[in-house]
Amino acid sequence: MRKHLVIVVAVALAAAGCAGSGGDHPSVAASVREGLQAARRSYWQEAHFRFAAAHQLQPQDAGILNNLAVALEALGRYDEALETYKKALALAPSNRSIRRNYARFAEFYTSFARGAKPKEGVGDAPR
Amino acid sequence: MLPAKRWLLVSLLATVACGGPRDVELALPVRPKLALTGKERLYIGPFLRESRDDAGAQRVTFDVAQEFERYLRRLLRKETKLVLVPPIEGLRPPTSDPLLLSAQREFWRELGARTGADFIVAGSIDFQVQDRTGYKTEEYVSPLDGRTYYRQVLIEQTGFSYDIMLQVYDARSGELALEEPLKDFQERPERRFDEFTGMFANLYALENQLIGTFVPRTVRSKRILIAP
Repeated sequence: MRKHLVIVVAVALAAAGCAGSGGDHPSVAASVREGLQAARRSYWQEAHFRFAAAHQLQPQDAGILNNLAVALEALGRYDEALETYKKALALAPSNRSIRRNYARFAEFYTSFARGAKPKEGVGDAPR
Repeated sequence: MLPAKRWLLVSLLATVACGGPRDVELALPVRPKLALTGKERLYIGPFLRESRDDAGAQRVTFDVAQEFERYLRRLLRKETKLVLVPPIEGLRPPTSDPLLLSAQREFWRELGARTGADFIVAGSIDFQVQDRTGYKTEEYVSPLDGRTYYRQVLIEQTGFSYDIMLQVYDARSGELALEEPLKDFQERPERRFDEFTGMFANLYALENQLIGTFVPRTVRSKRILIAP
């Protein structure tokens, strides 16, 4: 009996501990979950929509902001992604996942900004 | 249940309950160094081979500049839609000093007029094969007395260094449009390793950077999504 109690308490604590990404509101959690599913299938437009909806309901959640920034990056909206990463970092400066994402994004964004802007007739579409 | 097993189960359940971070891979565009529409006419060459008489550098038995021209032509034909103008036989660089190449505007302009190219891809190359065989000090723990000794070990190695100053000239004005230094160093654990194979190891390592000068590419990069 005592063993089961330990497990139940641990799971409850873990679930409470990771409520940093949309755990407070049931529809927020559902939106984030749907966003994650869409992201896993690379449906980034859909993922962005879901993360943005979750962000509307819970604007101070760093995890949601991180996911939103990733979706913006995947959609090529780099300036907005930069702003969103910054906001996420301001809310959770010690979050390792957000810091790692931001570092990788910053590295990419710097080299992207340094590259030549395409001439008329060609987009930024890669080969 | 043993305490270790119990904690393992607890942490497993906690992970399931939490969801945790998830990795996704993004395909991100990398812009080229040169602003092109992708259908310009390019003339490849001439390249200038820099010659240095460093101690330890070996003589190379083939024409490095010509091999690079051939390689670059094949690479651009395969990877881009740029129009490559046929090469002119026996065309030599206007100077033997790599620092003066970009000052020869008249030469590049005339070459552009002669070939009908929009851009000329030229520059200088420094390729060196070095016998890096030598004795190196190595730590050694004796199995007999357990003490640490230092011993000299002969390491046989060949080093290949490839240093290109890639220059792209506007063929109408003869002006330098882009200057891009590209460098690579490869080491092979063998003495007198084939220099031709060594040079291509350098070129394959530089391939992405070379293509990236002319056309956009994509890079794959991982990001972490945070699950509720």
